[in-house]
Amino acid sequence: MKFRIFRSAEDQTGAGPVDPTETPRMGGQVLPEVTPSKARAGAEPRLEDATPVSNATVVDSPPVGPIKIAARDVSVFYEGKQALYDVSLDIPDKTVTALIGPSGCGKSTFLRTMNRMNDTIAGAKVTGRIAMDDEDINDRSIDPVLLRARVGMVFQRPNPFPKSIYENVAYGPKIHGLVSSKAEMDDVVEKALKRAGLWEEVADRLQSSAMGLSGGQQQRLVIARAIAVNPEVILMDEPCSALDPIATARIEELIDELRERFCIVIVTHSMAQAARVSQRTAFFHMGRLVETGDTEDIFQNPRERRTLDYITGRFG
Amino acid sequence: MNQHTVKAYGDELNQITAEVARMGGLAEAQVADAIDSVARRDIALARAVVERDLKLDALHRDIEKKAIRLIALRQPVASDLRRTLGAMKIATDLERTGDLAKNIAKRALILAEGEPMQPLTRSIERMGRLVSTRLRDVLDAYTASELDRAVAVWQTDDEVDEHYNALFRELLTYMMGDPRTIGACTHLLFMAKNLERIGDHATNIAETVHYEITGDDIVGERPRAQPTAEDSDPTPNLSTPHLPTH
Repeated sequence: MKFRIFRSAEDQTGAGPVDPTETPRMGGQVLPEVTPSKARAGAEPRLEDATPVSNATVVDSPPVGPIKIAARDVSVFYEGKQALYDVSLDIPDKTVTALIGPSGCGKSTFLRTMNRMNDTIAGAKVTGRIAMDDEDINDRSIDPVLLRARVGMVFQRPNPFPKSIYENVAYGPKIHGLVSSKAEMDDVVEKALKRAGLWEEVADRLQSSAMGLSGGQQQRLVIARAIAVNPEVILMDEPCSALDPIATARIEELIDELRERFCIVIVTHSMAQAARVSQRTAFFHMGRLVETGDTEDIFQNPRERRTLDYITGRFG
Repeated sequence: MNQHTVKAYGDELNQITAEVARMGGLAEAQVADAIDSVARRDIALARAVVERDLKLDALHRDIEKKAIRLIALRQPVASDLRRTLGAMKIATDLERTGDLAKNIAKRALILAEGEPMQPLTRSIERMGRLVSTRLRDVLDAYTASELDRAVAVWQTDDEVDEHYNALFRELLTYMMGDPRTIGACTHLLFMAKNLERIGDHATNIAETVHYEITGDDIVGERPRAQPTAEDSDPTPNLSTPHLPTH
């Protein structure tokens, strides 16, 4: 039997992460230039490099440290319609990289290329090269199922299986044959739950249904499930958008802890969240990567005007 | 730059900036009037300066309140954040400028009771005009977001120091020549020091404007005249001034 862990996960939420309508809607439009104004009212501090760059140019300050994933000229087409244009991005290991941008900018599409989720969509085509540790993940020799064990994913809505808490976490290791005994499995489950910061809340009810957990607990359970198979990369697609501020804070704290072991890529609509949890930020707009750099630079003094407009809330 | 999607946010930012500009205009007038009150021995004007200082203080508090509210409610980032914090910093500089102008006016009231000291008050007036011009330039640079103009003010910081040093020697010469002038000259000396500090606040504002616009500090050392007398009042460099020969 071919086990498609992420597919079944999606089916359960009913809200699959796949939205083929997510195509750039304002294709090629270049925003108006800053007009220097004498009058103060409405005149803003000007950006030195305020010239609108051509869409082919990406303002990039490269990351330091080893690169986990290197994307080169990645384009994605849905039924011939281009959703992502020549994205080249280095994603460093043991770092949280945030992908930000308005709806339809291609950030989720790009996220999904990293564990070949686009393979599951009829009519989707990915070009370019994505290398994980110098290995092309789109190579024919790569089994997407094994790839997705190495590249785990967490979705917007928590999507536990309608099974016990224990079984949710044990499922991955069992399917991938990572454990050989019950004792070993107990150990794996405990470790994963501990790392996800959920152990203390569920230790005495591992056999109860996961569906009885709160939204925030369910999301941490899903993270525990993802890390139980020892992934190298964790992709998160708006992991907190269905959670309250306290549950969100706990997930953010968890993300910060997890980055010591994993390469984490997070798509978020909350810029405050991107600023809080990430060390690297990539800004997408209309299917293109516009600017990437250290998060503190992006949020203090971005070099590209469209980035500035977006993070300061000026996109109409 | 484009408008904020949430229009009220942009309006609030503009309001803070406008208020700083208004405060700047008031501070400028205070400095100019304080100098005039010294030059013309105008008691009524000096009193008016002292009273009007309350208004500057109120504006300062109001700008701070608005800025803190905006940070709490809008969480500004990047250029918006710099603009908000810049407004707070400039308002503080202007408030201090107002205090110094008030102090000059108070001393003008005392001087008006004594004998006129024409050549000396004229020197103060000259230095005052210079400082006023710097203040006006930097505030214009702020309101118009003109980087070059702010940098120009910053670069000419030493002119005020030179003036101060010259005045210091002049006053010292007077006091040595005629000890009866020591009281009045000391007031004039403090006035000069106050003006020098107002010049420093103008320089601070230039730095803030630069940071607000670019996100970077002004690089490079500020040019500085040799004996600056800074931070060492009331006994600055006592390098032998020319004594009056009687």
